[in-house]
Amino acid sequence: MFREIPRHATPTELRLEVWRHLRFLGAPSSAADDLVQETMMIWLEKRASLDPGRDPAPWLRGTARNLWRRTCARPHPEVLGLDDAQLEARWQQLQGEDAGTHRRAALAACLESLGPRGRRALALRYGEDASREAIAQALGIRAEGVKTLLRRLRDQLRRCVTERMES
Amino acid sequence: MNDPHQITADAWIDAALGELHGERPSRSPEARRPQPASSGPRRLVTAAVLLLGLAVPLAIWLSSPGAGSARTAASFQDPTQDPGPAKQAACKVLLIGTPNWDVRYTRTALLRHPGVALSTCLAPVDPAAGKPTRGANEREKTVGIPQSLEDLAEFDAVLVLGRPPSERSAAQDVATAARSSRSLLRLTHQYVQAGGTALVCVRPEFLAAVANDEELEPLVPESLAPAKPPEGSAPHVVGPILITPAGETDIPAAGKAAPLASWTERVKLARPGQAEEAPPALQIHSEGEGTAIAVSPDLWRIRASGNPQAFDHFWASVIEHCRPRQK
Repeated sequence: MFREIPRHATPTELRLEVWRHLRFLGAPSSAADDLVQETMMIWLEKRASLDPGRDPAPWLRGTARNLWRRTCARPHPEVLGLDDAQLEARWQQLQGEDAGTHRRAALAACLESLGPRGRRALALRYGEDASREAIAQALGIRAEGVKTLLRRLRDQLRRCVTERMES
Repeated sequence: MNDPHQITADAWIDAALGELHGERPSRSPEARRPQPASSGPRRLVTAAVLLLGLAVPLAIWLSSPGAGSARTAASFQDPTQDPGPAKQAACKVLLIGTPNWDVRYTRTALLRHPGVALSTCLAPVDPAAGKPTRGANEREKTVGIPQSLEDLAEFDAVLVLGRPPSERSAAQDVATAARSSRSLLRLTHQYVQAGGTALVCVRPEFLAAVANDEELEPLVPESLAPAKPPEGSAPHVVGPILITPAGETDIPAAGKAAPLASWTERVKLARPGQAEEAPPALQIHSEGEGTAIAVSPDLWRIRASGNPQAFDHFWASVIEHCRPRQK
């Protein structure tokens, strides 16, 4: 007989959840792809020994974290230095009950509220994976200024998202 | 900044910004979807039959001259173990393909191998940036699509697991995909004739590219071609747990997960007493001064057969065929 997959999330949703968690932990997209694959394979192998009634997401996230810690080259992203319980609690808080849908929508709205220069900088950084030099050239600023600009933009977005979520 | 609250908030925003700008997980195959597990005994039988199907070609291969030692296969599993004198120098391996999930399996297995210095060509290289446009992994050296024999000369082995990377998918541009596959295979053939070791995964695009080309038959033998899926079935393959020997009918209905006819056939034919009829999972040819290895596109199933070590063992054996070239 086939074992029922718990109804908490579909396998596709679980994969996306693990991938997002790995990205949250600072894994580059390609590494996150690899680790999701490994995580799901481990789950497939161990599933018989896991409680089928429990949400597999925390187990998958924990396994993915361990794999990422094992393979991540130094220096580790700062977030990876936090302990598991802290990470898990914050992740659940940030994602909420809707897998982060509302928070992402808030972020998208906040992004729209930025000026064109800020949006351009973020599009270059996140959309095109442009180097600091390339961003500097595109915006007509010095390369050293790019880091500061991106940090300010992220700070601005964080505050905006927090305000929107609270309201 | 050491406030965990802010660190995690920033990390979340950082990841979400990537997603808002189009970043997505690579498309996962149906095979990676955790499938409903079959009952324990059936799973064991399936794994056993799968391994039996591989045992014959692997045994033939391993008994060939220059075949791999058990030591190398064992040390493959434990990167901390001293690989010993079996390999004096790392084998320089070039992996070419599109960065899909089964290529990733192989890449990960090769990265674990202590005797391999891996280079990959899994995404087009942006000439301005001097790095792949996407899909690059930090753990290996990345190179552009080889254009001439000189580009391959530095490698001891070349693994062609898919068509050369392109910004457009094969479905988007069939003609270009066939042209680039053909061009790559021709170059690979020259490389083998000049003394290199090349492994080609016999994918449909390669079969199409070398149709009616006897010269390339040693690289892409038609005997390893995957069978066409049954008429009207979905084009994707089923997960490993659902593979059952022929005769069992509890495979989910077409449209959700179609039985993979080629592999089912192999499993069926590889039953005891019928092994001689089993299509090979791989073929090895001496070609010119070098060696050509052709493998079935179903090899990833070893990884998912319930015995993950089998996959690493397989690639350990492949790497044993890799010898430093006579330069």
